[in-house]
Amino acid sequence: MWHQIFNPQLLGDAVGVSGTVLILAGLGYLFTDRAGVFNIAIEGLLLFSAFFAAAASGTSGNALVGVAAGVGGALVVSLIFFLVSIGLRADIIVVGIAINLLASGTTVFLLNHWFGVEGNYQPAALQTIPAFSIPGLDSLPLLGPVFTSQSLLTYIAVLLVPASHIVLYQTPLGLHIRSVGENPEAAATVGINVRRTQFIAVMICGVLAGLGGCFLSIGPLGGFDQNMSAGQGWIALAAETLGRGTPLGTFLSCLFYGGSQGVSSNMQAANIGAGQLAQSIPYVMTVVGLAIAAKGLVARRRRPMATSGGSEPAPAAT
Amino acid sequence: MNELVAAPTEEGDARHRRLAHLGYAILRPVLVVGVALLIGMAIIVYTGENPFPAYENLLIEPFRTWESFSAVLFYAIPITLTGLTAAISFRANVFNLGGEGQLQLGALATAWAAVAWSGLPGVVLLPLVILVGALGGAAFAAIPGWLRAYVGATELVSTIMLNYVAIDIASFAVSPGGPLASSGSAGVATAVIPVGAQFPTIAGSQFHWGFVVDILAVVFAFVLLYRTPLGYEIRMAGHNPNFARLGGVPVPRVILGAMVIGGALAGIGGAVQVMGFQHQYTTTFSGPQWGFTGVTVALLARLEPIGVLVAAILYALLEEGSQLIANNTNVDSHIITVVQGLIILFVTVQVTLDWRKKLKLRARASVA
Repeated sequence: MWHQIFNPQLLGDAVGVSGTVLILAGLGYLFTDRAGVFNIAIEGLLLFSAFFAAAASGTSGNALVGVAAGVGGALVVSLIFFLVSIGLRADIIVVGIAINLLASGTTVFLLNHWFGVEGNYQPAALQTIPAFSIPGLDSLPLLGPVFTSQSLLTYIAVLLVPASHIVLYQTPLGLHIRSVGENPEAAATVGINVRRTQFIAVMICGVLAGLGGCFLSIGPLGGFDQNMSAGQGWIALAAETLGRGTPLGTFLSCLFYGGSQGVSSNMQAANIGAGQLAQSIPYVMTVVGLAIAAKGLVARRRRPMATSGGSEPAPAAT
Repeated sequence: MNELVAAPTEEGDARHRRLAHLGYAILRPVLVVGVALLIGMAIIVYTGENPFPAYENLLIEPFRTWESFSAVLFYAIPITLTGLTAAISFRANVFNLGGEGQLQLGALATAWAAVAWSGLPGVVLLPLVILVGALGGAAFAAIPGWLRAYVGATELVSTIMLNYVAIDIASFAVSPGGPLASSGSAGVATAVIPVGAQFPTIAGSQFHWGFVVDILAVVFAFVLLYRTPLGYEIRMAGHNPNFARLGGVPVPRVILGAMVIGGALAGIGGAVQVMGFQHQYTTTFSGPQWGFTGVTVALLARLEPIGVLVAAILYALLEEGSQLIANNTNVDSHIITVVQGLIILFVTVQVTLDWRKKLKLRARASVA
């Protein structure tokens, strides 16, 4: 029984089929969070980009066009999010909730309007992002499955972890993002353009979450399902929190959550325990992880999330 | 979040202000929905269809026949309760997005209790199973509430995650072989609840006496928020948590309270739906996801209990209207889902405009 649940493929799944979306979305959220933007629209971004990627790849038969459309869609939605929440200073949480609700309704509408199908879209022409193994590495003991027939986006996601670390800690942009997130007033005093920095962070998040959405629909699966993001945007947000807002920590948390999704699917495949209860494992683990992160078993960092407030102090109502 | 609540103007006495506040709460939803509908009209024109028959079906047809109008009222019943769930917690600056899960478990608990105690006379059974539904929802809301209040884990993520868990638990319970599955038919459902625990329907329609529970809940929420110490503390904690803490408000307890009361109302929403319509719990009983609809409705009503009732009926009108559009016209009825999305985006923009206006007023006051 145990070898069925914790099979050698599990690590490969934790990085690949279950983890890639989380890594991409988690890194995306990380940039906004570190810039002091509480971007809870990740879930909606994933769904929008998954839809546009599937639609474009399905009509053009070209995965690259799909990725361009998916990322483009996520960027447009991120722009709206930025304009309304930071630009117009509407309550950032409400804007996030609005975009998440909008994503669910709009994708269903467009799916029906453009393709005349309800809920599920799997055209024959749809091209998925290529998957391949890395010769040499794929025969490593233990780590082999991580490099065996994984999607190109999975390798990119893993490479983006050190890349994000370098951007965040070794470049002027990263310094600006961190300063703005730590203390916007102080950052402004030393001449950092707070708005512009936050805008860049939101757009970086758009690209990364957009890639995550592409993986959902034109990655290993090849098709769009109504509400297929299934809470993964929220799990990514929790992973970043558990990872203390660092790229490496976020990556490790994503492996943990991706692994618990893998465990859940392995249990369902092997008929261990009631299927429905096994299905809820990743969600339960997310809540447990959040509680651990909040309780400070993981070193504490000043977190805007803990108080559930927006990045900007709420304007006092009379 | 405070700016979501309509700002009282500085002129006028308290009574006048309260009236203006109420007027705001009732008029605003109508305005927002109106603008969203105008854009929906533009989209219908873009799709090459005539928008007028569609809008006749959406706005006039539901009032023509009792069959349609009763359907509107029927749809509004669960949405009002989940709307109150979101309104009460948002008022405390706690974002309970778990109405859906709380509704599901409330419904499941009610169905279980009604079947288990089917021997009791209706006059005892009916209120008792509503109470069980409330407890089911409240217990499930207590988990994220406690985690937020005493551990510090954000309720935004935990409530969403627990929605999935709730649906998994409920579907486990009623699947073949599950503890609450009906022994009879092969369907994924509990057994049918006894007649004593069912709400009778009104005048041969789907609309049922469960609406009385809605009215009571709206009154309860209004009294809670404006006439009780806990309500005052909820509003204080939402307004300015630091000031509230310094003023002696036990903020964590208030947060937990707002979550649990909201969860109880969502649980009642599930209970009333089961008692008035399906008469058994099925996993698909919350078709349009009333828990999430409640969030939209609460925002539309600017977190005012009485506004929630108005907004819920408006929202229900869109539900029924989209059915009629699908039945009677060539227009794609999914357009209504986009209109519903636009409504919530407008609410956020409108909140912003209010805030701008307030700033201007304040600037003028300081000049004078």
